[in-house]
Amino acid sequence: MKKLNSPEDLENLRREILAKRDPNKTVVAVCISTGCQALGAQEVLEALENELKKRGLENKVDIRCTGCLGFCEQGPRLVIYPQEIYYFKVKPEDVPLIVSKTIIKNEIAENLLYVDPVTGKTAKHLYEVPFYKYQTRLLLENNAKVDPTKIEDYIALGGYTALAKALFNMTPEQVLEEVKKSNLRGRGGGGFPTGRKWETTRNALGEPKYVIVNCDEGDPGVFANRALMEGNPHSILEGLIIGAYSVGASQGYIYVREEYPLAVKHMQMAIEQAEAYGLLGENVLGSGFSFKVKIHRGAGAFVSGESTALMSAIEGKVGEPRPKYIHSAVKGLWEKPTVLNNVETWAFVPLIVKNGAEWFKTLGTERSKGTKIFTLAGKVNNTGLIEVPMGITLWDIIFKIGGGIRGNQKLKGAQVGGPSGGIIPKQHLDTPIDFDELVNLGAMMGSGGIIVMDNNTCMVDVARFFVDFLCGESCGKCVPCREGLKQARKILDDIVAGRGKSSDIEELQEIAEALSDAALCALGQTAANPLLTTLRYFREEYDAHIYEKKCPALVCKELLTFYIDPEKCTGCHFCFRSCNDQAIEGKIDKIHVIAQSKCTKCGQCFDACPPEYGAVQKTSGEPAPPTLPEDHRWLKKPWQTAEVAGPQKAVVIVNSKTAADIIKKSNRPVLVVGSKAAEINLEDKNLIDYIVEFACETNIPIIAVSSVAGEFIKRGYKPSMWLSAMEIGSRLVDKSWMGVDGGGPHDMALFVGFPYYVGAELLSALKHYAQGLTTVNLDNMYHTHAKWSLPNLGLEEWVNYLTGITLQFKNGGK
Amino acid sequence: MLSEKTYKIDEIIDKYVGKEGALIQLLLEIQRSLNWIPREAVQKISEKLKIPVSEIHRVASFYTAMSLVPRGKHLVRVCTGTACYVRGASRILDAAEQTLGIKAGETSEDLKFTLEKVNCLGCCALGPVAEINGKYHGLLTRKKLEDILNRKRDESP
Repeated sequence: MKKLNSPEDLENLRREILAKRDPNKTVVAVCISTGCQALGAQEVLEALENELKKRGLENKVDIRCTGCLGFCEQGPRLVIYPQEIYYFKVKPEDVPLIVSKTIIKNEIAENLLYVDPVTGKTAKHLYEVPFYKYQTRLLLENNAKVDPTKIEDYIALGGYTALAKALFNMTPEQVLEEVKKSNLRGRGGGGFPTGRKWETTRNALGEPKYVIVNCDEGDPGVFANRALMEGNPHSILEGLIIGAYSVGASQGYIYVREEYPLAVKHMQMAIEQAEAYGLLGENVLGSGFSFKVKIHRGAGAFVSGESTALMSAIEGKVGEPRPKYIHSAVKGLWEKPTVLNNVETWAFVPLIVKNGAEWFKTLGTERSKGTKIFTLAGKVNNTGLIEVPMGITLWDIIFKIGGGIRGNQKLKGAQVGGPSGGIIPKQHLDTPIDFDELVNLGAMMGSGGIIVMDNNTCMVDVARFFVDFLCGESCGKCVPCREGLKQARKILDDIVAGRGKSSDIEELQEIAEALSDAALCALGQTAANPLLTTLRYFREEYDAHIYEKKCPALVCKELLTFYIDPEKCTGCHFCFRSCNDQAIEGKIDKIHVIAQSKCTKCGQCFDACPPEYGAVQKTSGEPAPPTLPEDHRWLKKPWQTAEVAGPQKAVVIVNSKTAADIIKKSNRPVLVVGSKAAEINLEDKNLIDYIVEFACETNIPIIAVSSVAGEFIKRGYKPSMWLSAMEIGSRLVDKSWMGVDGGGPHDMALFVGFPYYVGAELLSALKHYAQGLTTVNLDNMYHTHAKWSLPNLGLEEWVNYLTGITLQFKNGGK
Repeated sequence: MLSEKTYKIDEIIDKYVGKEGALIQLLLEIQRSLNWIPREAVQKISEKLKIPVSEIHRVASFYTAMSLVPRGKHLVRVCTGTACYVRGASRILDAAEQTLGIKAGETSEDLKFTLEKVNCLGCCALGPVAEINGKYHGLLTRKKLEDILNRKRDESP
């Protein structure tokens, strides 16, 4: 690789790269960022490589591995150039279709296009997808166009021309002036004007000076920096070099958190490639300016994102913040003047230098210019990374880009700015967002996390979550943060567990004030935000927890009661199986109940209950409805069988007259009674009572399953025979069996009182092996293997059938 | 085995001797290579880099990425960041704890699994998320995670 020695060399290289490219050649861009990989992008990539090889197309089609386009939930994502067709949710098994249809025949595979869940329309191009339609993507735009591991891709798009312009056409002061004029504000959280920070460092005494990229991104719920560093590392690097030139630094650091291995890898490659081309290192582009960059891997601490803590970490010490009596722009890393900016801020620098401050200022609000990347997550339909102009409303973000709230729930609010931010309630979501407006609402830009919360989110629980998080991440150096958060957590723990006191809220408020006044660094000072905003906007939820011992969102475990709605329970037994504590009573086809004394409120039964039944329910602040007594738990719902009947299935007996007619046709019928006959309560009597009545009226003999014989005898009726169920089946199959009275084989067997599976098994056996025997099912669940069967019946209808049949015999006789 | 470990530790430490502010990177590299930071390594670093053992302990116990006790063969990290949390990450963590029979932050007795909860894995759009041995699993349900963990358990002796 030849070192570039002048801007002309760079331009020539760019032309060379472009000349080698055939604009009509098919390129498949596969997103291999962490998000898509979690959904199987690697497997898709391998399938694509294999398929192209199999068809001998590997030289005709280029595969480009690219970074994140933001719509992660719809991943893995492919783009096919030059047509620019976007395919979402691609699986390895879709690959042959993509190759045969789109790559070879130039046709679109409709089933892989994005379908708008609202309109049901498919979108071929990105601008037709609502998620993208309302975005302005200055930084993220190139993520789908460049392979982050190839500097040539970045150069082909005009990369490093801003650096050349700065080095050769501008003095460091002019670069600084341009950045100042653009009003670029730090994207990392506070929104400090970048130009002013640079100026302070430039004018500060002390050599050497340092520039640092902060990619600690410890805020839970945010991944903008990861996406940029994984997807387009050179844009950050170029910004950093320009910044170093402007402030007069010769050494830079890129601080990346440990959880982002792919970002580290891509940045490392970017540095090596830039050095190889002479864009970094000694004598950059032959300009005489020299600059070196090192990557520093974080080790998993939220507080390290704080500027002074981050610098301590680079120095090899524990990442604890230090008091900022002197700003780190003057005394930072190793006590030297240091500029520390966020990934996004650095990535804007080349764009501003290249296009000018005026261009940048056309976007955004009065005091916040340009675009901002937000991570949209939580309970919205479309989640992912979005880049929007400052001044857009949260309402537009949630409903236009986010496509509204998931599962038809109601919007409650949005948490903006990570643990240091605050929760903005629904009524304020139409405020245009920029750095200052968010602060007015009690939140902050932070690193741009927007987590949408719906009715099922408990705000007290969310506040507890953030306080718990910050408590764990507090470095412990200053007392307000270390002790204050601990106390706040204790109070919140009590409130969500139903032990809240009326003095709690006042105490929380006091702690919050002490934190913001007295904590050493921004972590502690802003730690009160989630507390204060929830107290300000959702006070009634705190009150419900404290005074009514009720969690209105049904989230806080200790305040919940689980129960099963007997009207909805289908007796499927799923909840029973899911329970680890034996707290559920029930058998298949009986209504299940939860024994409250044993329930640990783990919620497993709630998850296990199929959503179409929705029988397991939660309630809070009130006891569960009383459970049904044991003998009322038989299901009244018709039974649905999943059995496949084959070509012959039972004919449904439409009414009791038909039933009687069928029975009357038989010469030697027998009634077979199963084990459940004595357990089923119908109106005021037992099923067995109806059976006895029926048998007396019709004179049809009874064979009972042994376990119920006693019940008959108790009622003064002696069955002709009692045997085990399977033995009864064997006798009926046996052609030489002379029946219960020895008078010859029976030609009809009526079945009643059997558990469903026993009945099914008997009837299935008889259907196949007992020719000449007509089987009739008189149980209230349709038996497909009988010759004749009652339909699925509720208990009341069943009683009507049974008494109806008996009545037919009374009137007509036999 | 022991000598191989010792050799590895020496090799890593030697790379950092004389470098300014190298302690964190050095500890991370030992962590990556051995999956924990043994006492032997702490002592060696102290001797070779002239850093007090107490200072090394302070750093190693501050950062979540470093472990002063052995970790299991499979590292299971369940994300409990905000986005995952509102989508039910605590239930996913419950499932992991029940399936593995250990609490977050613990290692199973057979040294097969270590379970951790992490603040954010940066896959917020895919919540709830867990990372198992460096591979990310998105849009998790209890069932999905239980299946993955059971498979891992059965995989090797």
